[in-house]
Amino acid sequence: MGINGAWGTSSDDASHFHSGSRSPILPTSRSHSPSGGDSPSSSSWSNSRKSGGGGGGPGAGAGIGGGGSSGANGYSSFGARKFLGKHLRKLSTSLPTYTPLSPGTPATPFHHRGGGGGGGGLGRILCYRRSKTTSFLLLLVGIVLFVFTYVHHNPVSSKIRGVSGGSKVVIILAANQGGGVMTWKGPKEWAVERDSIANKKAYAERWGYHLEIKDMSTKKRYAHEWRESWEKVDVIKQTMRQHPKAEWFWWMDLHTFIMEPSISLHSHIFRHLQNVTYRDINLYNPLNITHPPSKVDYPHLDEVCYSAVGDDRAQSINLIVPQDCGGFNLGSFLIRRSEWSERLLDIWWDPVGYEQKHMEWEHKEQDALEYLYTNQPWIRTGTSFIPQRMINSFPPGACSETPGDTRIFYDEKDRDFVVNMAGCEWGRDCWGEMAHYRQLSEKLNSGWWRKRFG
Amino acid sequence: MHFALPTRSHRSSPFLAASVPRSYFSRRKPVYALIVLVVLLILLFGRSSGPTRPADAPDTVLVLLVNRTGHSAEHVERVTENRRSYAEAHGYGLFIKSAADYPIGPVPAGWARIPALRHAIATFPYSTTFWLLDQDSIIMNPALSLEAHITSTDRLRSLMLRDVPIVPPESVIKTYRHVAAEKVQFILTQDADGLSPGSMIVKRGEWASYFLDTWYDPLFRFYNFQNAEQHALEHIVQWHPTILTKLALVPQNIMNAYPGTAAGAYKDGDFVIRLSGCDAPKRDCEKEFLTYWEKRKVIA
Repeated sequence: MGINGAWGTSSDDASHFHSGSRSPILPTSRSHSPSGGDSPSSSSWSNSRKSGGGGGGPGAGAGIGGGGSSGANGYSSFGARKFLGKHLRKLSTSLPTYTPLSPGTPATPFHHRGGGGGGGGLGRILCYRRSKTTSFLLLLVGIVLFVFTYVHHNPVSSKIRGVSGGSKVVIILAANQGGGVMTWKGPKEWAVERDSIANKKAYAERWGYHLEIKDMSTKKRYAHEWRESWEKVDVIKQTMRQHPKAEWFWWMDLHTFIMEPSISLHSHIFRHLQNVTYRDINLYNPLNITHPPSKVDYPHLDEVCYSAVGDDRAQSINLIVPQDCGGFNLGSFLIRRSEWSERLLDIWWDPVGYEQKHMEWEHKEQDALEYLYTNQPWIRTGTSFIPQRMINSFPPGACSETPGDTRIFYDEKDRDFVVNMAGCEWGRDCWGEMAHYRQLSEKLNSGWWRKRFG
Repeated sequence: MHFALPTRSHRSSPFLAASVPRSYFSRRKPVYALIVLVVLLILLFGRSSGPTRPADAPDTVLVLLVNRTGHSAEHVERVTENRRSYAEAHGYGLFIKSAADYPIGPVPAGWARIPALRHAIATFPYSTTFWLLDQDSIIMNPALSLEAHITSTDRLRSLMLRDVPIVPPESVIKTYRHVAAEKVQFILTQDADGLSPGSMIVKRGEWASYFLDTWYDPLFRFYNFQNAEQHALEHIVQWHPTILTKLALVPQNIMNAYPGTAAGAYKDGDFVIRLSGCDAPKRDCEKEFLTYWEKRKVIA
């Protein structure tokens, strides 16, 4: 009896709610069956309806009147129920059932007065009922929504990804490198460019990233002819201005191909920056840079600079660079917007350095960065390295001086993220390599599930 | 007597005797107390495990690079005495090094100022303002504190020279018009030739590391700028906005007055006199130094 009492009071609240918020004659509402007794299809529900009434208790449905007189066994199936059809009811009946206690309480006057009072008890019963049929539906809808918005790839889902962090990432694709006056593009070059751009575009769209395709053709930008094709820095600065809210900028050369478009940068790198990058260049040091700086040559530095890992905090990582067999590789690297990177981008190109080194620094910005890293200790505190195959795997043709180095070359068994056909324009077949990797990526990512969702 | 509920006296209750033994709590109490204590200790020491600022750490540090070659011991002694008394009067730190302490390479000794400043910043981890003043200078009016005279925000705001050419009389690049005094990291003066790094103030921070490392870069150091580190400084200030935007130029006589009659020359009551270029062939540093040494004010 005590239990019944408790149920009664709770359904009391429910009845207030229902009666206050809904009209008793709404056809879609199962909790209110004004003229239920007349309904022919009410029999299957009448039992629970009765027991609900029993639980309803004397306090239920105060002040509600004017409904049908024989609400006790009245339950009509309107709208939704009719629409949902038969099999759902079967499903619900096959689920474990629960019989509410104490059906024996005689119907109180409230129940006879109709919908409101019955609604209290019914409301509770229907909550319970909903947990069987509708919860199944809700689950179904939830799964569909989840697949549609998070797993599947479509404009809505990429929008959602964009809003939820994707728009913080900008991919800078350097197109037309060395083009313009220096070389004449043939059909193969056009095809390479088209493939590369389509690859980045699809990837950016899928994850809600921004994509900036930058024309890197050789131009005479300055009257004094300095800085010819040293525009990487300018382009990054410009892109940072174009996307004032973005945080990470991923530079990609034209001859790169994202092999695993189903991997987001967040899950691949940003979510565990500390674990996927390394500060101590001694782990892989093809340039033999002395690290940390020696106290003999630099007796004047602070503890962070003398530490091989800097301050070892993810927050201080502003530049993520892969290294290949020859040192830093800027074919695919990441830079974060920060005061630190603003300084780096400002100092990266300096006319005095350029004047002295531009003949020697074949790889321009890349050599300059290596120089800065070696000679200016503050650079090291914000720079982190990433194993090359995380974002910049090489095809066998590149780095031919160190064949078989598993740290460098693409391995389809490991499903490397990105291939960079570095140097393919120097005597290798860019178009052939690009086509090979494009087909390989398609093959690896085929299968019905992959095709639709991956 | 029988009650519906057992009385508060446990001893009389037949129920409690069979349930949890009383000794349980009394025995476990020390354990709980210990756990609580450990947690408290962890919280306490976990918070203070980072370096805390010692009470006697100075806000400001004076940096002096001593060059003994070509100078008598008395001269060097006078200079250090001048700095020491000033630092003591205001509670500043004092960082004295020899130019030979830094492996700057075969370049003019003025380059050693840069690693010396960075070294001072690393040595005094709790200080914020670092003032490098060359050996050829005398603090003439030690009553002036650096903060009230130069570095406090309001004072600096009124001192900053805005929209003036970096290299007088008419370099294209000028100081910015709208730099907030709060954001200034580097305070400097100009003389007739350009920027004058013989007396400069640098604030601690990542920017200082960046700026000093850049300035000290071998490509600049070994470039054979005509005026060595001074021209290198003018170069980076004019080419790199991230440096220019942190720079405040103040009138020369604020902290770098030269003797003579030119604009900004030393007059009585000025903070500092600097005998810039006194090691030129026709001048005598120590003699000039002594004439002003007698005129300096002394804090009682």
